[in-house]
Amino acid sequence: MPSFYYRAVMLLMMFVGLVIPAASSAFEVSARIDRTVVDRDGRINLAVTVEGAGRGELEIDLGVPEQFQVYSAGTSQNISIVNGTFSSQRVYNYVISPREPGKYTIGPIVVRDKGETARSEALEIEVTDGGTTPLAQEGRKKTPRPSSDDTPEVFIRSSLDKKKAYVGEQVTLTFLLFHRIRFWSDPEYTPASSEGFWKEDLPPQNRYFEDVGGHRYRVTEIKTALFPTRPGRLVVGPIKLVYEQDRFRSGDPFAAFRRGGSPFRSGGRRVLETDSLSLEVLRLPTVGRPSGFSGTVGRFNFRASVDRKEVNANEPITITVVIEGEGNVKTASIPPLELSEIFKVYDSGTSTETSKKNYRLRGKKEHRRVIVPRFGGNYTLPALEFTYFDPQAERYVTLMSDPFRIQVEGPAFEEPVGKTEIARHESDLRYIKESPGSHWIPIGATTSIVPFILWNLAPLFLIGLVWGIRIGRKRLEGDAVQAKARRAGSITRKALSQAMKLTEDSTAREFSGALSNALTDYFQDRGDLPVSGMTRRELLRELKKRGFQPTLLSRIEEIVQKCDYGRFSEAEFSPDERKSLLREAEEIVWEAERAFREGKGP
Amino acid sequence: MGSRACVSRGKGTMRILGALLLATISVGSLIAAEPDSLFAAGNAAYRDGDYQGAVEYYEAILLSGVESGALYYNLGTAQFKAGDLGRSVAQFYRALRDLPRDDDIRSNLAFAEARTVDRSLVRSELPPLQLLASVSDRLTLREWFVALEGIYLAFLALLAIFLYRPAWRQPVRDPLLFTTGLLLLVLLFAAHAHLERNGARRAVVLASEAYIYSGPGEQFTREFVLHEGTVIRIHRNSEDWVLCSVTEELKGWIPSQSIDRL
Repeated sequence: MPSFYYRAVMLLMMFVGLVIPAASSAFEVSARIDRTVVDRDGRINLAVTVEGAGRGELEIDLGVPEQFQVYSAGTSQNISIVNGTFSSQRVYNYVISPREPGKYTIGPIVVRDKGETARSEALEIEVTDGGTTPLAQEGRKKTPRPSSDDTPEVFIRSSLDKKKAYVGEQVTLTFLLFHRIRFWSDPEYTPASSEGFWKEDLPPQNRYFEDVGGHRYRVTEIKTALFPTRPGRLVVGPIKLVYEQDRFRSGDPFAAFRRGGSPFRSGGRRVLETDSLSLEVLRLPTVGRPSGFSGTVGRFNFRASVDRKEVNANEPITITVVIEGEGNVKTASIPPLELSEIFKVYDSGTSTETSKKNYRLRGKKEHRRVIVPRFGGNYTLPALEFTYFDPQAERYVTLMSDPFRIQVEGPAFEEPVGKTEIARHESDLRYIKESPGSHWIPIGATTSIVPFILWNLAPLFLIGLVWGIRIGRKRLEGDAVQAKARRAGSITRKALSQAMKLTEDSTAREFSGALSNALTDYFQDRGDLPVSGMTRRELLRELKKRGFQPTLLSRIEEIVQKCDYGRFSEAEFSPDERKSLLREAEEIVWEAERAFREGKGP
Repeated sequence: MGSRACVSRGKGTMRILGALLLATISVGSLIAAEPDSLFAAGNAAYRDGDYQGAVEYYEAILLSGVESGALYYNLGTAQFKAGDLGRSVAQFYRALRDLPRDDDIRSNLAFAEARTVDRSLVRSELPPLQLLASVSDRLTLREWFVALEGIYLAFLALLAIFLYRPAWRQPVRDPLLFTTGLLLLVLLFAAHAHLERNGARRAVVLASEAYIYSGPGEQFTREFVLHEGTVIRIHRNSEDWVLCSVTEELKGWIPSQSIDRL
């Protein structure tokens, strides 16, 4: 199942890779030959690479002089995904065979796709009169160039695109595997040892056909970018290849039997090895070397920017520096930023992107610094300077950014005057403590907060409780008027019951006095009125103020009159009259009690 | 005879008690000596420049179940030297809980925080909250509660006098009002200190770059990135994710393994 998904994803990616370039109108053409000097009987392999063209047939005009014969050697297509970007590449292979010696120009090769045209650069070829012509460099001692008489089924070659290079300059190592047999399994490729180089693989592998010695070979091409890191004569290689021939699937089904062994087994392990290649690495010139040069080699663009130019003190500003171009951008040094102590500087990170288009390492390095101005004022940040060595022009190039002017709001920096400031040259963490302290604390020994709160609230609650009880008691005891008022009803009832005892044996004076005293005490206590010092009218007026109804007032007036009459005259009250008066007094007290509660009683 | 037997029995009991006491003291001193010796070994490793070794010694003390401000300080210093910026910031904050007025800890914390990328972002609480936090951080939690207890006792005494001694009410009235205000203030600081130190509301980012997502999972949008050593505020948890914020605006979800809770 996973392989099914893998295939589906790859098909989808291929589809996307084929469709997306088709939608694009721009495409590029490059041409490459495997040698620039060839003898009259030799052959040159010409590879025309078209990148980004549509899916349809292309019209290709090679521009080969008529002194050459041209044979098509097949087409191959590569789809590659580098850093998430799809690219489609078609390679048209040709074999061109010269007829006459001389110097010739091939191309520029013109490719037309639906009305759009792209051209390659022209290629110079020298055709000599005879003798063998080297491919590019050494590397063929152990695997000599096969002749038409003795052409091995498998052979390998390696070459460098340069004999001399500067330190840090890209040198491309090309490995070619020629074979006209099937392999039992994928050959084991052991890359060249590359001590003294920074190495980058250059995908994709290129596959095409080539005729050598009258045989048609399948060729696999692997390229590697090498960046010398020190001057002197450096050695690349050897490159080793181990393969096993698939006897059963070779063109001759009886070959396995003739050579012995089983037809279902491989043809045995074979080892091929190229010679080591040598490269003269030149030291970078010291004459004219700028002081700010830090070893970056290639061809680059440089720019710097700030995210804002107006800030408040202690707010961050981000300075972004971008170095972009051809060369090993990973080793490019970011120019330093020297600022006064007014600024704090923090590195915020670096990101690097690389591409390997046309087998040249290119890239973009972006570095961000955060600076924090601590004081207000107008400042000019110094221009940043980036120097690299251009190996093609063989000179140093210095690029500079514009200085940045920034405005910072906030209190200005004041230089201390009069005395020499003692400055710390280096700062570090303070030293560790020699003693662990007075005690070790058990981890997690935290007590719950709830008992603490309850424990502390308890005394407050106790104080409040005692205070509340005390206040209540004080109110009860301290307020005589309230107490008397509360007790007035019961006292009066007692007084009236005592007066009842006087209904038969006592005189009218005694009875009236007892009744009058009971009523007087009642109004005095219940109403908090100084009844003994008041006239009857004053009492009635006061009771009226307390909300007594006129009927009740008239009844009070009447009974008071009768009591006065009994006390101060010789008149006698019969027992029935006395009982009637007592009943009336009780009813009046009852009604008065209700009037006091509803009215403005104390 | 009976009394001699009684004395003899009493001597035997005393011997057993003495032996038990001695054993207790010996075991106690061994337990106490273990962190001390580990601490000394950690210090020796630090002196020799073996910072990772020092970290291991100090962490062994924590594994034994005890802690101290000096231990966290030394651990943070060694972790910084060993290149572990995030954890060192966290240890310095822990050290301040026990030794809040220690100048060395504050200095090393400032030194470490100066190396963090997001340093300038974590300063956006309201001024009253900043004041509350800065005052609250000046005392240990224990000191705050001792102060609270003392002021509370004074308050109770003054309150009792005010309530039960009417004759002293007038002279006691102003001290009582002052003590009440002070009590409420100290209660506020103590409560803040308690919540900050026991509520696990703060954490330090450990990952060199930690993405903050719009939800608790990697399927959500990456909204911003925090760097090692940044102090964040914790709001709530959801399985292995934590809702955190740096400021009111910068709020989102971070994997819990990317942080160290304080």
